[in-house]
Amino acid sequence: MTHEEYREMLAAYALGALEAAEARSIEEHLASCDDCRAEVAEWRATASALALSTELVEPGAQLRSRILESVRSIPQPSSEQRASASAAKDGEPKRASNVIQMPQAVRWSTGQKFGAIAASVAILALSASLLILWNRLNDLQRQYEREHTAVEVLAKQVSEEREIREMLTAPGAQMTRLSGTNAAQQASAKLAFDPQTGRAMLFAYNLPPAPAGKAYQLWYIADLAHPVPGGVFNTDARGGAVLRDQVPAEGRSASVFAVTLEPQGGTSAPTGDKYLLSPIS
Amino acid sequence: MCRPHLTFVAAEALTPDEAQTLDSKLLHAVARGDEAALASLYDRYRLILFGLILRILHSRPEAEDILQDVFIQVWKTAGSFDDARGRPFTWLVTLARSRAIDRLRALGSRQRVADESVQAAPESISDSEADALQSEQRGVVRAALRELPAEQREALVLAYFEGLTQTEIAARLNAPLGTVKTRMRSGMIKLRELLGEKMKDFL
Repeated sequence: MTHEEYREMLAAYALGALEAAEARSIEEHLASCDDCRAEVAEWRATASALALSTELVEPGAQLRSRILESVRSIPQPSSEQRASASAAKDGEPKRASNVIQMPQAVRWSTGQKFGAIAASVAILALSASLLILWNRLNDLQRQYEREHTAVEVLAKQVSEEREIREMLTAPGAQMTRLSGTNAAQQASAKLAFDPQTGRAMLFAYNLPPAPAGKAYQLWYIADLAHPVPGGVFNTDARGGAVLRDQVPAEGRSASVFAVTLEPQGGTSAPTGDKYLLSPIS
Repeated sequence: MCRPHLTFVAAEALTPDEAQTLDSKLLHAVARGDEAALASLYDRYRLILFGLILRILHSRPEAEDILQDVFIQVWKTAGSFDDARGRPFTWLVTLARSRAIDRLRALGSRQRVADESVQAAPESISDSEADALQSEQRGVVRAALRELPAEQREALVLAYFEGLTQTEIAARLNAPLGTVKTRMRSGMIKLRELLGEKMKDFL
């Protein structure tokens, strides 16, 4: 096809209305055509305006926290990816992955992972067939990631729920309530603790966000002079946190529990203010 | 005392340019692992994106599932958002639309039935959300769609909201493929022209 013939198809491409084979062929052309790439970006913006013609609808109230809860277990993409993205901004040749804009935004992103490969393709001026194979690989990779993520999220939810149930129904499990100190009067927490197995789970609410470089740390206190260090955690946007911890042997006779603000990474003895404290009998 | 809270900035009505800057800052913050920034993006875009996804899937449970999926994807891929390649709005909407269409195809037509309860009444929108919701732009887009010839509008809507290809649209409408292609392209050109000036700060 000629450049003009491709151009004619760009609007339909941005609408997602081409057959798969046509879309692939456009993508190959886009890899080498700056003009068409710019034009596609414009058509995509036009297509996205159609979203503004729909009604605004409120999703379920619990969805927000479900999302924030689930991303907590997903690490950010490696710093290597970001490093390569900033390197490109610093004037390195645009990688071919940046060039290929496919209808799904997901595709822009995962394309970047292959940026390095694509760059060598350009530099070595290898044949277009390599690019086709690379596109296919990308497609498969994306499909795999999509399905894999969904499975992972589900599996994680199921195992979390099972863990909580086991924890709460263990014969020796104790439930203790922690209240906010003057440093965080709105805060509260529940601690489920099984002295036999040493398993503990802390559910904290309404803690203020920890300042940069700081994090919250849980303490198991049997001897007031020697608190035993527990897990370190951060809160979500709403000040909530769930901490799973394994209590060291010397902390299992604890009857008092506290949460303090400590340097990120935690300490072996408390240094910062107490934010949460269980009743001291 | 704590990390900067971009959240609070959103509480004022913003111009399209300010909103875009805010959104792109939020995306960059998300790329650094800032959950509060993701929460702000959710707060700013949930109504638009959920409305879009629901329009495509006609089922609240499916649409909520996809909305969650979209924000997980935003979390994972915010680092690949590049201001030079488009606006945050377009990036988010394109992602949401493509996820919803993928699900629609995976479900097949058998599931297109649905929960008719989704016929949403317009929601009441607080001022703090007005900039992300683009009430003015929404009016512009609706007016532009009304101005398109019906058969052009139909081609765009079938492609965008039902995920039909040109070939499928031709079969559905019992029209020649070439005719459908022309309608679609003319419709897009006309739409771009109608949105043109008014939306240039936005799209």
